Amino acid sequence: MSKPPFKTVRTGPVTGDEPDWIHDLPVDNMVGAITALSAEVYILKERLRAMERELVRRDTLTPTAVEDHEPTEDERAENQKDLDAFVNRIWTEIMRDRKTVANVDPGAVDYFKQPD
Amino acid sequence: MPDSLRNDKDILEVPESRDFRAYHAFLRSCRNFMEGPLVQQMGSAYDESIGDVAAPQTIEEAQPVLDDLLEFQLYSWCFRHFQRFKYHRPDYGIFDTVNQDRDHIIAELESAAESAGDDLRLDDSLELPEYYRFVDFHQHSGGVHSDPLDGLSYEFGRRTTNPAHMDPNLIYRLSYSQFPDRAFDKVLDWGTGHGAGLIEWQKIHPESECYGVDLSAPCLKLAQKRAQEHGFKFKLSQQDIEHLDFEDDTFDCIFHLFMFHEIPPVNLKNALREARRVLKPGGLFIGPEFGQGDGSPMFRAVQQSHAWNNNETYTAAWIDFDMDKAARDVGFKTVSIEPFKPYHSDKVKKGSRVTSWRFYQLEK
Repeated sequence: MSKPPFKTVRTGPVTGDEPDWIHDLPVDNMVGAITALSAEVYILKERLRAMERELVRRDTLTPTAVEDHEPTEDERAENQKDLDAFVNRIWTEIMRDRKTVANVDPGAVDYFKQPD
Repeated sequence: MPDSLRNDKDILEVPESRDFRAYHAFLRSCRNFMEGPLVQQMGSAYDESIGDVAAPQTIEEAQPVLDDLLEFQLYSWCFRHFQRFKYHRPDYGIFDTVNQDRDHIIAELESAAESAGDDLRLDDSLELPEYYRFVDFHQHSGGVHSDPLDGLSYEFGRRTTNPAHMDPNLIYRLSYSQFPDRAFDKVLDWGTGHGAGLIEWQKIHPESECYGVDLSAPCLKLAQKRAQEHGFKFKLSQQDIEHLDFEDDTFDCIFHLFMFHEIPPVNLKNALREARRVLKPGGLFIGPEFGQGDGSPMFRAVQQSHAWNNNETYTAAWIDFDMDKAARDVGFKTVSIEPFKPYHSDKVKKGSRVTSWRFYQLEK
């Protein structure tokens, strides 16, 4: 198979393996995106802690209620299922192979002819 | 899902978790970013990259410039993989979500189909055109015709496909707003899909007897179900638009939404000939399409990239299709190709995808 003329620009349909589209993303940008996501996680964490404290102040929770929380057997199973699904969503993306999710038959380009 | 019917117990709905809704809201926003700031920055980077050198005059000259732009690489990734995230991801993807209620949905669709009688004509013996089978359009695995839930998945998917993210039916109303202001007795929705186009039409044109054709049986079953939910009676049939079984001079109007770019040029000309045959004298063939508007070589190269990135394969040939000639060749009396007015105003940013939209009106 001949080498494609471009890194990303395509000149025909994807009929084989999934191509790579991003070739020139600086590592600095990736670190920046991870840092930005980390900040978002911290913001969520801070809000959650504020909410817990507010619930304690209003006597909706005892001070150790969250820390001492023991799920029931059913809840424990539900938590595990949720955690497994979470891990699956992340790792299936990391482990993603180069198989396309949808196909184009190479013969499709034979239909590009213009009418008389 | 039609908002006006959301609380009706007879409506076929797929349960959407809070996480599912949040996930797809996030993807919609990502897509908005892709179409907005990312495209803007891509344009600036392209101009900067050219500098004082003579600007590319053709798509072929623009491609190497684009190829070196990180913005274009990211845009291409987004265009391809946001679609994968939408449909194919575990748990929150559309396919996983609709399959969680698979048996119930199939039973509902079959029940609607059985009760439709002659209003829904499916043809198990219909041989789907080769070009249609060759491409999993929009990266919909197996196309929109191979699984009983394909119609529903397609209906879900359009929420993040068209520019009116908050109301997927707005695009139909915008299109119909450009139609001549008159009554139409008998109309045909050309590639009716999940039926939303006919439903929006019937709301505006209660006088019309509504027909719809499509190659996809799963889509037609859903269209039938949606029609029933609205209390409408449509006549839907599984047919190839190149070989319709309607009598000559049947319809006052045939309309569609963005169908041209999914059909190879030779087949499109055949379908135009067939559409003209079933139109009454003076009847109209109308609909919008993208890809043939003005635009810089960069813009047209980006437009062409969608053909490959999102399995809109025949777009690459549609861009060069001479609609005026083809329509006149098959006997249409007048051919009008105008900008799609709702998206041609000062409010629309230059270079936006929608500025390439055109409105095609052919009269028999």
